Amino acid sequence: MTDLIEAAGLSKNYGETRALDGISFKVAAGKIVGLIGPNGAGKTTALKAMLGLTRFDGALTVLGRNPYRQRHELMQDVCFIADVAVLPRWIRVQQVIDFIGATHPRFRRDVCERFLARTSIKRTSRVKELSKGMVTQLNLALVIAIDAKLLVLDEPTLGLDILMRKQFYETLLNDYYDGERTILVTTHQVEEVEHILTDLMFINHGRIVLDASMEDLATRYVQLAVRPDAAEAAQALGPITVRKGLGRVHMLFADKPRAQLDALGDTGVPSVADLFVALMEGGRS
Amino acid sequence: MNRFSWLVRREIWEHRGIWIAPAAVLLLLLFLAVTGYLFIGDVVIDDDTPVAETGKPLTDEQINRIQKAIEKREQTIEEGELRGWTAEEREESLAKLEALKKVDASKRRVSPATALKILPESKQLKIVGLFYAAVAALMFIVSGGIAFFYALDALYSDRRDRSVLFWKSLPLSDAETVLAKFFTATVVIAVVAVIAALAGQLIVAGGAAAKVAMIDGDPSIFWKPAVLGTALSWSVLLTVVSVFWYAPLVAYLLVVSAWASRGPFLWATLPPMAVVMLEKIALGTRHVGDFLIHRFMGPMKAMVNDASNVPGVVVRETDGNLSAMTSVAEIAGRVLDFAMSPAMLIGLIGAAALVAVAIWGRRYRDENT
Repeated sequence: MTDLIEAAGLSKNYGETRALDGISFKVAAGKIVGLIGPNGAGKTTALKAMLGLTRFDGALTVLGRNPYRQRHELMQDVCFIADVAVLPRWIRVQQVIDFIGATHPRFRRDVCERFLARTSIKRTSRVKELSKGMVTQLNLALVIAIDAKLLVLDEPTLGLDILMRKQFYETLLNDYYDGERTILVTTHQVEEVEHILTDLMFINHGRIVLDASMEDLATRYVQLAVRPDAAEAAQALGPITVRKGLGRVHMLFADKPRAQLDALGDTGVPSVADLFVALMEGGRS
Repeated sequence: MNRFSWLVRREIWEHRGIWIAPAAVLLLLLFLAVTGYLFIGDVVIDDDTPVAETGKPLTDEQINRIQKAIEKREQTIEEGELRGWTAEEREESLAKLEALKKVDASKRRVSPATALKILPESKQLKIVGLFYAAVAALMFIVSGGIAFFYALDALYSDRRDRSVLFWKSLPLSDAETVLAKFFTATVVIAVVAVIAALAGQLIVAGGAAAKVAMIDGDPSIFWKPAVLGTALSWSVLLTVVSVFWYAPLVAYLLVVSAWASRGPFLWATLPPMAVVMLEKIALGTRHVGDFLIHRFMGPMKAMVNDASNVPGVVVRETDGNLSAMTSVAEIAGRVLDFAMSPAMLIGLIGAAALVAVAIWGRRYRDENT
């Protein structure tokens, strides 16, 4: 499988602050990758570098191009939503459709029209007259109509209620994702994207803390509810985190033989949220 | 090219003032023309011959005075131009004034219209030309204001509401985006100005013609091709010259619009003012101020201060036929002269450099935020 995005030693400084600290990763075509990290971890900087919106050090190619120098060409094949609030507020729904239809060679007007027909958005409305949920729907209608090889979403559902968030990702999965397109999404709301992701990347302090496929996660990471008498033995195995709760100690292990852990208590697959918290805390300590 | 036209269209969608402001001025003119308020004011024709005063009907006594004044007017040639009145013009006007004495006093009320009725045709053309030039100048000033605030807002507004990220998600280069904005601020607004000037002139002419007709005058004077044609040519000339002349100013405003983190108006105006004041304090000179005034007033000064440059205002006689002084060929020649002047060329080079800076700003300004 070809790599859509390749980064090697990708760095970015804002003055004294090191936003990206020489990260390296690859994203293959057809993946849905979640880029997860706390505020200020470097997510948005990484996305901006990939979209050619910011200068960077190190090597980075997106679709075989240098995003910074070949931004214009890159945007033929890449589509992004920075967040829901960036559609110009003065523009009318019809105008934005007409404009993208006339300027974007990969815009499929019929797809956009079909999606909008399912909503209550009026063509004559200005964006500022739409509710936040409607703006998201409009944004989604525009994005899924663009036949892009790479779709980048930066906190696409920020500030939306849970119904809207669910609908957003469902539409993305059902109406857009075809197994060949690649989607890169950053979000805080890990639990909502968990089930649609194929790959996961955690980023913290400008470094990649985790880069794995969802299948790998299930085999590599184990959550162990430690039996009281096995605490010392478990501790000796070197858990990533130790958490006390409800009378039992929970430990998270990476790359440990499953049989060994099964002997020390109840094992299970950690949720992405648990893993996230564990790895972020691990990074902090 | 098609993409470019959509980029321009998008500018007009966002900045509706580009057409709303001229339309509002036209509506105002229309209102004034319909209600008859448009033509109130003193009209002084040819040196100090008073024809009528504001809103008052001409009395017989006034008419006598005007007749006496006209009798004294002789035709002279000053600075190569015909001034004063020919014998035929005097006869024509004196006869018209005699006829006016027989008209009911209330019908003598409308001063410029009355003036038109009294005056010989050559003088009528002069007044009409002046009206047309005034309307064109009004539209010119309105459009200048629109262009100023448009250029200042064009790149800044996208950054302020962060929609710049949306525009940048489309496969459009920063160069074509900025060039479309530059094109809108210069050519689009200029074309709107010419159309609005013509529409305004027709409104003014319509209102005035109606008044002239009301006092049994001949309103056809307003539709004479010589006057209407040259008035239009004059608007076009003024506008074409201005587009080139003000290009660096527009580009400067785009640079401010691309770079200012807030308050682009102050960023655009305060630094030049500060430089002018510093020069005055430190050196006691005012070169920068003079330069700025020259840059701001260039075309207006060149074309308006000298009344002989306003076509239709000065009318000349060729083989007994009246024609406006400026022919289209003369206008084209003048545009060329202006276009080839060093100040113009230097300005255009400066404009190109500033547009490049604006493109650069659009591309890189917000990358660290």
